[in-house]
Amino acid sequence: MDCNDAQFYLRLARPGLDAPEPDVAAALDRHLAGCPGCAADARRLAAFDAAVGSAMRAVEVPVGLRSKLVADLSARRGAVLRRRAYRVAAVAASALLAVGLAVGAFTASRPTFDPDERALRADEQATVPGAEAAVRDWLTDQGLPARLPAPFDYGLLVMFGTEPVQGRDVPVVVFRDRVGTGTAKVYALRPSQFKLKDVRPAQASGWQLQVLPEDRSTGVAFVVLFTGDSLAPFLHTDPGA
Amino acid sequence: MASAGGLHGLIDAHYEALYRYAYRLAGSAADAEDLTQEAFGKAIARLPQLRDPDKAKGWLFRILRNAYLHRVRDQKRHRAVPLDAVGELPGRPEDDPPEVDPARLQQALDDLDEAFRTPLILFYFEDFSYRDIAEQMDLPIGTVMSRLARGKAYLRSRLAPSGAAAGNGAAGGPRRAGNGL
Ligand SMILES: [Zn+2]
Repeated sequence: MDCNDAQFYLRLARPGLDAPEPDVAAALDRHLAGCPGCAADARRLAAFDAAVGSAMRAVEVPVGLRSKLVADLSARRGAVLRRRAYRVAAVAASALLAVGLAVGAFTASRPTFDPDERALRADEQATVPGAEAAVRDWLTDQGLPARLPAPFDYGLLVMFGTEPVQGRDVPVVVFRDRVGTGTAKVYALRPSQFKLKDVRPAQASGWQLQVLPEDRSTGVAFVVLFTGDSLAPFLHTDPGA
Repeated sequence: MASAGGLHGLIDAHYEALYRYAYRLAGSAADAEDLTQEAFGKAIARLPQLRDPDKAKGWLFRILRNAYLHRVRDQKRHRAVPLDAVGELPGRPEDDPPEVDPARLQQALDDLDEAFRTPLILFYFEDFSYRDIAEQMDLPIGTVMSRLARGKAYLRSRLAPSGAAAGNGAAGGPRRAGNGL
């Protein structure tokens, strides 16, 4: 091995990770033993790599980072699981409502439903402070009564928006229960779009359908699809609140 | 989805290395913390993609680097030393300082294009082979070797005692292209 080759391998070789082939290593060693110039370079290169390496790795990891990461992980896992549960619930509820309202009066094609988009919006909406005021403003904008006809707990709000039902965009406000496993979807049905007498209670898969009192001035009917036995888990525990 | 225990295991095994990488990559503790958090967050969602648990570290490093590149692209930040300005390897190594100040090293890294910064960091972390680095960066191994050689030459010029003041114009070192930008 000549000086050129030696210099090449000196810069390439890394003990442990990228060691040269044994015969190359032996040839390099023989060259270094007989060439003071290359041997000195080898020492300098190794010293440089050692000094830079230890400086590179000298980064103090913040105390408490691990617990922060674990907490964040738990929160994300919760969100992922809630999102999945909601996705399933939303699709099921949408299908049930479609069945409940299917009276043949509308010829529009089957409603589509994008659970991913809904779930995304659910995450955004849930973090909005002043949820009740936001829903109130939005309902008013839609020409709907400002208040839902039951004392829903807005701390449990998941999302609000519209959902296509039988080809019509139907305003809907979604709540979860305190445990996070139940879902209630409050649909606002305009008399111009749906005839209330056509709404039948859903009969499948643990979903209940409840018709709330109609708003007299607008004629808007609120229909709730919910999981569980009653609406109570979605309402304020303090009736005065 | 893997169990919480598996995810905690991933955190325990890799969070320190990941944070150090993020710090050297981004140059600040706050960014490093954010990036580490983001990387684990993305890892959770993609955990089913991790077929071989032995490759978890490289996989996490890759996720973190992508998160970093995404941010840099969004911020339209450009490093002062572009690829072309990094000089070739000097003929002979100079006498190097026995110790390198980590903060000064960081300054030098901050000024370097990510294309050079990442292989240097991974090289000096001593956990990744040339092939590992090439896989991390989706580059041919020869390109990685060449960037490492040029990156080391740059560091040598920036960290040499004579290069302390400016870091400019040292033999084989980078010219800070676009000083006015
Ligand atoms: Zn020689």
